[in-house]
Amino acid sequence: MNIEVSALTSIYHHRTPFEHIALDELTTTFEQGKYYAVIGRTGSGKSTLIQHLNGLILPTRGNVRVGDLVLKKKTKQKVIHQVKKHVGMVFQFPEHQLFDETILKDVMFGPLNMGLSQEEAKERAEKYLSLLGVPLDQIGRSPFDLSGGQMRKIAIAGILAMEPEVLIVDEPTAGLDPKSHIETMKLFKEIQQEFNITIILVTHDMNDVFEYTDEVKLLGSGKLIKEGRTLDILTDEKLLTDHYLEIPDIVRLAHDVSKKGVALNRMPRNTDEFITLYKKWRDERA
Amino acid sequence: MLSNMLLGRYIPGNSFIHQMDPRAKIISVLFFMVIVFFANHWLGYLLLILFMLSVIKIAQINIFFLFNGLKLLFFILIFTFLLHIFFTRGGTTLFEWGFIQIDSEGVITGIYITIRLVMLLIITTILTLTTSPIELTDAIENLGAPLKKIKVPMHELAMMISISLRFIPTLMDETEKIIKAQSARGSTFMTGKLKSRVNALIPIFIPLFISAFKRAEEMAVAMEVRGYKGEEGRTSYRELKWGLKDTSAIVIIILFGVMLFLVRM
Repeated sequence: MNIEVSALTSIYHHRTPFEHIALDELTTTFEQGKYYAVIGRTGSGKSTLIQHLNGLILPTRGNVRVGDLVLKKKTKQKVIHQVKKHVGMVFQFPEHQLFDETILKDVMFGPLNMGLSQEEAKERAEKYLSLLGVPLDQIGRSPFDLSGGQMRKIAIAGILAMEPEVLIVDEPTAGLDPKSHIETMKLFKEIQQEFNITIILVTHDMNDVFEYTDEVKLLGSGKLIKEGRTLDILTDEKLLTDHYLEIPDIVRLAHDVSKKGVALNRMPRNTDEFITLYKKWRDERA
Repeated sequence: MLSNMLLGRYIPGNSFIHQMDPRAKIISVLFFMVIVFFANHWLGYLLLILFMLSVIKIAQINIFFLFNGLKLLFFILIFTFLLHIFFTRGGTTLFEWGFIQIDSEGVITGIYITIRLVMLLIITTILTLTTSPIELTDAIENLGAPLKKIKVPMHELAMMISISLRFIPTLMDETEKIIKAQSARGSTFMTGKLKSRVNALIPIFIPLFISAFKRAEEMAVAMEVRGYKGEEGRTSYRELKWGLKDTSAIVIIILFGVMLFLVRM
């Protein structure tokens, strides 16, 4: 399922003294099965854009097309509910949305809202909880007894159990320890490849963007500044500094060593790749 | 919808009323609340309305802005009005249909009581619009000082009020976030049957309470870490100063009260 955004304009507090244009005539497409990153400095419109993609905010002008469904200024709640079945959203600090007595019930909440029967919902909840490595003998416990990282996993399972075709994740690693950070990012990548879903990641961490995503949409002041392959955009140092974004560590490292005469075959995406390429270069020289 | 609410909001300004000592403002509001009940016929109510309009003018508050912010409370007013229309008997009967009977007395009392309520709403809203929460709690603590003699923890009460006021916007933001998160999970509290709507509130309130309790605990720890131990040995950065304008404001309001008392019938 593709998402087509056309001439999307979003204005907060429209027609009041506090009027603020968050998105300005933005047009872009998200294709099925790809891993996207939406980047830009704070206030560039990233959060507003992603909330439009599943109908949490409706456009002031323009429209968002999710498969056959169209989201416009006056779209009915019924249509929005349909869109939510297809487009899942993991908010920042998703563990804050947990509420039910047991882990299992909490994960079943989404699927039940989608109209599944108790049995189906339970089946799905168990499937995704075990996928995230939650032991099934634990799921009768209260989610509030768990650690922050564990709670986040439960919350993510709650979204995955709705089996969305498009998954939007907003700063999924904020406040996590380094180990959980890597685990969470790896998990999303695995899910994307295994179920062939689209992932749209919003983050400030350019290292994650560079390592995991296929394509990048760069936003600035509510406009689409540039879109394209991650490899092209995140190696463009001038573009990144112009928009107050960090250059990925590995890109900087590769540039630095190339100045010292180490000519790698291609740009590595992570540390492991860097080491492999470096070894190859050394072997070739020897 | 929530962003329109004026209740408890403060808008900085530089008017006469903004500059008044918060204690004088609280005392004036209390006096006014009593005075409102002096009026018992049209002349009194007319004077009340004129007085109120001039206070709004002096406070430099846009009157449309004020009424817009109080919109949410209008249904309470309408409810009171209808209650009086249907249940007050007396005067001539204007309308009769089955068990419904409307008397002229009912309409008049309905209007009067509604005006009183509007006056009370507006005066308290003006108080909070023109006084920052900190000033307000300082004044409450100061005015309540005599109560300390009989072991009423005035300082703690004032601190509680100022903390609650400070967290209203935070909790509003939090509520909005949780509503979005749950509606992304397909929760439908905007549509459907009443029962399902009420059920849909549970996933919103529980996370909200949990985060509120967490915040309260963090706040308590942070206060203790910074050495807070209640009122004992605490000095204040802001000093309340009673000036000429405060005395004159109180005098004006008392004179107005006397005037209203004289026009009573």
